[in-house]
Amino acid sequence: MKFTIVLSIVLIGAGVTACSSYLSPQLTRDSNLRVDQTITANSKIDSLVAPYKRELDKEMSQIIGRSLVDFLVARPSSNLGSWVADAALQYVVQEEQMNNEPVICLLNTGGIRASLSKGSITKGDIFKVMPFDNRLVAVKLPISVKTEILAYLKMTGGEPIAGFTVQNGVFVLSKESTSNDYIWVITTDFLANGGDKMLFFQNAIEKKAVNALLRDVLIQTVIDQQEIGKVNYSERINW
Amino acid sequence: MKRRKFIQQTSLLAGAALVAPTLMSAKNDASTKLVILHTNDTHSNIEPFSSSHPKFPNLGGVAKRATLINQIRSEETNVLLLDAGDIFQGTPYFNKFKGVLEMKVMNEMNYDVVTLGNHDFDIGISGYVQAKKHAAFKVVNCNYQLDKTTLKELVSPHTIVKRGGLKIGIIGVGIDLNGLIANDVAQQITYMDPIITVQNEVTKLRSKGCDYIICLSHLGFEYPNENKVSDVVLAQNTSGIDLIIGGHTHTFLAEAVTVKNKKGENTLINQVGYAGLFLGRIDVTFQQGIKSNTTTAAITVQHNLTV
Repeated sequence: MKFTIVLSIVLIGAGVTACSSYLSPQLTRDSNLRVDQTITANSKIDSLVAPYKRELDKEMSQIIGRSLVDFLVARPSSNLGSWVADAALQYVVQEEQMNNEPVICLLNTGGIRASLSKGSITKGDIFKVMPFDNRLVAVKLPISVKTEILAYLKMTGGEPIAGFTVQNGVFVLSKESTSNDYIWVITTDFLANGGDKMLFFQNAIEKKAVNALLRDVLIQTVIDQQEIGKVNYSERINW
Repeated sequence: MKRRKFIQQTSLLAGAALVAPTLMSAKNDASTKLVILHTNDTHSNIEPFSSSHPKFPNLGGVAKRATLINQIRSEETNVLLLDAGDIFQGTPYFNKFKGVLEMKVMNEMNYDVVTLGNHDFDIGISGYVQAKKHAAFKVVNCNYQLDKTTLKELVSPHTIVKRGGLKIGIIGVGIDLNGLIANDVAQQITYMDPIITVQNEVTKLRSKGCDYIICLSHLGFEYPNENKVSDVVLAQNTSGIDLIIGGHTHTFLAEAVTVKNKKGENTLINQVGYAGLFLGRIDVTFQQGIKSNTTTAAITVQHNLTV
């Protein structure tokens, strides 16, 4: 790797007018250092970290449940995407007592980073599926958002959804709505804040931050369900 | 001038002329050099990135950062080690050990002062307070009203650190937490205007005779299309800040950026991405001089990077 820096510092003298003695700061060096693999690890820090690393590695390899099928992520919808969206929806509805509210879930395909193979599931596997520290958010939106979500799903080719399906291009809520004015959309803080250009979240009437990482919700869901993949996930989006 | 062996070892700045010869020869007994080392958004990255990381394979790791810091400490007399927030969240170490390990390793590295990032509230205020028991460094923030919380005793608007006869004032400033952290935590903290509060602290620190003022900021480097206070906006709308060490936006700067402040003076801004992949370094040399009403020096830094 070639890395050269040429610094030239020009001092322009100015009219020195007064008075007391003082210390004038001059920038004499300014470069950010790469913490790369050629640097030897500090042994004191290494031994401080070691017991934590052992404990963590042990936990990450801990088996928390089983998958009966291969869970894959794909567009327009997939079993992994649907399982994740269902878990998020169910958690928030229960936690925020939204049973009587019109509520759906919309996540992003790109946010699911790995598949889950048939067989035992470790905590580390879930960290691979969801390495991001995304928190769940409930966003109250005007009912017109349904049109915008449809357009978005059509444009991207599909995202993980729950609480509704797209049947022949029509938005169909999974249970009857209690409002003609608004709908709650469960999503992640990343998407609610404009991530992946889901710009319709900017029209939020209200936002509720749910104090939970999506990943933690998924881990708890595996622990609660023990075996995942009993349900057959049918296609949720078709045009 | 001392030989910087570690630079050659890391082949970071091979063949670089660090300082113009004129300035080197101008160095005299009356000058004091301050080396400011800093991180931001380390996000619980204890281990280096994996060798298969698409963008930054094998970079980072606290044990390697410590070696780099110790090397510099052995070469330089007056070193400051600072962090601009978001120490927490990002690896399972945080989820499992609730920030304790991050605090322990930073304490071992002898960090002097840090500020609060939004993710430092991810296990609530009590979580931060608990973890912080493992570290002796100071925490500064001037625009979060923390009276109703247990952070009240832990956090001060500014602190003054003395090095080699210099008084260095360090202020902390943070981003609006509403919408970024859990509502129940955000509601306990009243957010105050960063520009007004920072300027107040600068005034206090100058009246206490500080030679240099650093603002540790978790506002974010720049928001080109948003009406939002960033480090650039803060620098332009205040006076008296010498250096802003930023965070939040995970901005990788090859070197510090110079912005003209409200009075037309230079304020430096630096930020080193995230995850402890880089260690920021700024050297400032203080020379005995004569106070002037006008700017005594303009510094032009040209750079030519080949990576």
